[in-house]
Order: sequence, then C-alpha cells, then structure tokens
Amino acid sequence: MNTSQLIEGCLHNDTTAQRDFYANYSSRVMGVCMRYASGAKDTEAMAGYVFKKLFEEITKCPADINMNQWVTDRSIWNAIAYLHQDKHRYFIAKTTRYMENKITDGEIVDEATLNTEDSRKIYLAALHALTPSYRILYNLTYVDEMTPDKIIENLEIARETYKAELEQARFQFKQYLNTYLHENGLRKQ
Amino acid sequence: MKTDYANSNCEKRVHELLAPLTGVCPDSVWESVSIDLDTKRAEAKNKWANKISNAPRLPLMVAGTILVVTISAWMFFTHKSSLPKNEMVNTTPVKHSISPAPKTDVNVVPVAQVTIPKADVQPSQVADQGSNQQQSMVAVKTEKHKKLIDSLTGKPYQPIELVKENNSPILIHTDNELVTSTDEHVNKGVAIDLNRKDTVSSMRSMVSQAQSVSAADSTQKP
Repeated sequence: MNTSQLIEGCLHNDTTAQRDFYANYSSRVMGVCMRYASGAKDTEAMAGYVFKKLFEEITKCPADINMNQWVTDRSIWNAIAYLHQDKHRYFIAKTTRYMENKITDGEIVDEATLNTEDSRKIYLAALHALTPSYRILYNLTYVDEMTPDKIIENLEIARETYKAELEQARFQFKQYLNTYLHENGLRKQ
Repeated sequence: MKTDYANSNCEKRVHELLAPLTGVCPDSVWESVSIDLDTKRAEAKNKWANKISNAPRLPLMVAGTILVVTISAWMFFTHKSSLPKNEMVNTTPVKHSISPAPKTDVNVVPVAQVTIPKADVQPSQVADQGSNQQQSMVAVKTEKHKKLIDSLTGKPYQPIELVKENNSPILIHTDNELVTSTDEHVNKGVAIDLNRKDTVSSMRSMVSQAQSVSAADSTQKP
C-alpha cells in the first residue's frame, strides 16, 4: 500500500490502512518520543497520544507531501503538546549552577572509548534529565535544527526568553552529560 | 584523555547521535490507539442516530405542524386566486365581427361581399375589464396584399377591412375603385357599435339591405 492509498484508507477509517500506517511510521514516531519524553513509561504514553493526533490530522495532510517529513514534523509538535498538558511537571524550574555541581573527584570517561550505542544512551539519559521546557528547546534547536523564528512562533514565547532558556538548557545538558560520563567512568574503573 | 563537555561544543555530536534515533513501538501503544480509533468509528456511525434520538420531540412536532399548515394555506390561496385569471383568459369569447351573408333565393350576384379572408383573430391581452369590453377588444388582421377575384364579373376586389380602436365603433368600408357597384350606401362606410347587443343582427340587416339594393340596380341596368 503506497502513501496515497494509506492516506485515503485512513480518511475512510479503514482498519487495514490505519494498521499499515502505524507499522510504517511507528519507529520514527517512537524515536521522536524517546527524545522528548522523560523516560520509558512516559515515551509509551506520549507515542499513543501522538498517534491518535496523527490519525486526526491526516485528513489535513496534502497528497503530494513527503510523508516521512510530515510524520516527523507533526510528531514533534504533538509530543510538545503532550508535555504542555502536564503543567505541573512542565513548569518545574531548575536553577542549578555548573560550579555548584561540578564533579571534582574521579575520572571522566573518554568518549572515544565508548561505542555509538553507549554514547547514545548517555546522551539520551542527559537529555531526559532536563526539565520538559529545557528539553523542548534543546531538542528543537540542536537535534531537530529548527530555526529560532519557527520555534518562537510555534511556542509563542519571547525571543529573550528563548535565548535565556536555551542557554540554561545547554548548561544543564553539559552538566548531566559530565555526570553520566563520570558515573560511567566510575563503573568502568 | 579527559573530556570536559561543559566547556566544549557538543551540540554537533548530539545531533549526530540523537537525530536518527528510532525505537520499537510496544504493542500496548497500538492497543490503546486501536481502541481509540474503534471508539471514534462507532461514534461516527451513531452520530446521526444519536442526534435524532436525543433531539427534543415536542418542538419538532410543533414546527412540523406549523410548516404543514403554512404550506397548505399558501397552496390554497394561491390556487384560488389563480383560477379566475386562467378562466378569463382561456374562456374569452372570440366572436366573428361579421357573420356570413345569408343566401338569397333570388338569383342575384352580390356586389359587395362582406367577408374577411383568412382573418387571424387574436384575443386581447386586456381580458379582465368586463365582459362587454372583452367582446369589443377583438383585434382583426386582414391580408391587404391579397386580392380576391369576383367569380361572376372576373374583376378583382379587396376584402372589407375592420379597424377597431379603443372603444369606438368598428368602421366597415370598401375600396371605391374595386367595387363595381355605384350605390352610395355601399361606397360609404357604415359605423357599427360593437358594444351594443344587437350589433350582429343590425349588421346582418344592413348587409342584406345592401345586397337587395345592389341586386335591384343590376336588374335595372341591362
């Protein structure tokens, strides 16, 4: 079943087409949710929410669009919408300072000694440790490489807020990365 | 080699590692999604049934009754008002202004035959102004270009032309050059009021009178 047939079947609530759509794009959606969620359990709930939204929004999907790009883009913004739903968690403020949490003892493991999968796990763990608001900004800016104007427009925030929060997000990410690498180094020793 | 990531630019490495990230979706995700899709499918099927069943019935019945009464009243009045117009237009009496001349037993040839060859009679558009006026509003077209030939004398003559303007009486006149008779009664026009009831009878009497006079002249001439 090609892309246009998938879209047509999903428009008519065809169960086979919906199942095929899920099978084709589930790994891509799951990858997005793993980056934006805070853990494995949160990732599953977010993926379910994103797929429900995708089946609703597929009626607005243009026929001549790149489907992979459309699914990725809509998954990102629906994942952010999922995080915005939980206001209690979203507005947690972390004011950690780099100097206060700087690791002074022990060796930091050399990343070159790690394989790609281990490095990915460490980076992902550092990303999950960020607060939802910082995680969103960091993902949008550095992983998905969206332009600041698009981020500001979609998140409806001020440019100064964006800059300040992104700087905080970068700082925290590096801090957590050092921590996880240090822990990994300790485990290796 | 120590790497202090806090002082290095690690964002490029982040993009390389995390951008192509994919994962395996557990079955629990599809189960929750399929349940939601089935629910929405069932809602879509029962959408109209629920709307009809949940709709308040009393206002619907009242609205339906009012609608039926309004439509029936409108149909009744419009049908009633349109009937007389149709009847008046269709039943407009079309009368020939001149009846054919009575045959005489005497072997006399009429000089001036009062006939209207191939006259197209059209009912007037103003048909609702009373029965008397309807009878008088008959337009008569004559074909002037056609000349008739008298069968006995062999001479051409033009038919009598009827002209009706407004409510004035119809003037019947004949062309002096074409009619062979020298009688003054025939050559002069005769005014007939069509609004009168005895119009037809008076015309008949006048025509018969003219025929008798012309017949008398023809018998005296040879």
